[in-house]
Amino acid sequence: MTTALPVLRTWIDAACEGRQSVAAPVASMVAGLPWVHRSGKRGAPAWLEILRNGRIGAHPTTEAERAAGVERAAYFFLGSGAYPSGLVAFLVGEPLEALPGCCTPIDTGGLLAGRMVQAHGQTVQGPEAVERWQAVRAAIQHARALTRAWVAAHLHDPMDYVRRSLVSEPDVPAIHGLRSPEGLRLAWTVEAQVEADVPLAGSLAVILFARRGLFDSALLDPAIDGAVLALAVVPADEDEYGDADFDRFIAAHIERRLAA
Amino acid sequence: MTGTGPRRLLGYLGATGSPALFDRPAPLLWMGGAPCIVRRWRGAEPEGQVLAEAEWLALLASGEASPWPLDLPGPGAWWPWVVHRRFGAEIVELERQLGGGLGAWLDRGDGARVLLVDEAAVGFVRGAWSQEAVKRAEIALRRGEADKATHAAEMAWLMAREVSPAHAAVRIGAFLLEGQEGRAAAFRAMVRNSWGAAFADSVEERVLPRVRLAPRPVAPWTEDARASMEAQLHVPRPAERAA
Repeated sequence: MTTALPVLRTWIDAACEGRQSVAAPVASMVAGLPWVHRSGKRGAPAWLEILRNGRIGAHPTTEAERAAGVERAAYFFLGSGAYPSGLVAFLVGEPLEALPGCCTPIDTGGLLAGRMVQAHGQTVQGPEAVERWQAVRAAIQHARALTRAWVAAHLHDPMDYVRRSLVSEPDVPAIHGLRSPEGLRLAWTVEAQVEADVPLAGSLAVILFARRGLFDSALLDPAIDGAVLALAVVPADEDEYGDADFDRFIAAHIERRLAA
Repeated sequence: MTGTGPRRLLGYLGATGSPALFDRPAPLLWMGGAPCIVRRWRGAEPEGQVLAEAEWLALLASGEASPWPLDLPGPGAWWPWVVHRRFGAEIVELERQLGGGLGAWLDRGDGARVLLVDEAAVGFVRGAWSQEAVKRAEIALRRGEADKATHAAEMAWLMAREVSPAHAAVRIGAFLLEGQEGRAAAFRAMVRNSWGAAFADSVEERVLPRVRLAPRPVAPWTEDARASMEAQLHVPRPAERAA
């Protein structure tokens, strides 16, 4: 283990136990954040399948994740559509945090697959990636406490945690010392790895569709429960939020929810 | 991003098998050595979001995108329009109206046809079709013709560039005429969630009287049917009239 990792572990533990100082606006903002699951991930259930089955299934992970002990998982980012693809987003609430799993302030798949780099550009791979992942990993029940401290430590305006685009950096370099070579925000956004299927009933708050045609595909599917579709939101203006702007649409929706 | 250089279409963000009557998924171009989801065209210049090649492949693998490798036909604001086979024979007329603005087409395995349209030249056709479909849906609703109303209302809703309360009202009316109250409720909720309360209230003002005027046909004429019809038309029964 590198010398910096015990210090990082101490910081993460203190954050999870609520021992980091956090201003009231940060705490209030983090308390209202939904978990976001974006479809379009290779190997994961497609969004129509999620709607038909009534659950977001935990799917078998990659070889690198299995080597780190994660056999199957459903992935969510807290308060952001940080996963860069997928045209349907499922926003779920706090019931998710009662399920078995863990959280990290970085994309697990990217870190364990060797796609994260250190400040000087050197890639982190293999056992070193697993060590770093373990140093920032916490129980999912501590996700909001960790996020409060994380936002307070990295952003001058807490709402920037929601607003920043897919390709963006925090105001202060991430404490874990890693970033995505492409500058993707999933290197500094809090992620949950849930090791069980996540039922939509009781936890789903909203389904965001990138365009009207996608919603219609669900609406015309007799296997999909109409009550679930009553939670749908589509962009009212296709010029403002097209497919390429889906992350901004997600962010704008979350910001509106927080303001309401 | 913006960029110049060779323009090659890789595909579009739409899934094979979608039952939507019409869809307008974003095109993916190969630009500057990377896949790019086109956000909009500024003149003949595409602007959009660059994806890592792995992300594009993940979208293909997850079924959220479809490949359509093709050199763009020339300068233009090219956008795929996916027209489902349920669109029917009207697709011939649509393609005629698109004329030279239709750069290429693809018959997809599921019966849908993907049209590559220069929206700078003929994008207006979509809005005109939608407006015409609203009128046809309204007529069909008044006549109680459920199939025609549903077809026209879907066309009106999905082809609209800017959705108005009339577009939503005919769609809800068609669901109600078909007896699909659950779908109507889901659609109503989606409209309220997406466009807000004022817009949704305006939709309701348009939809309710229309559906009252279009009771589902009942035959043979029985006492139950008479009671149902009278209830829908608010006809007082003899006992009520006497009172």
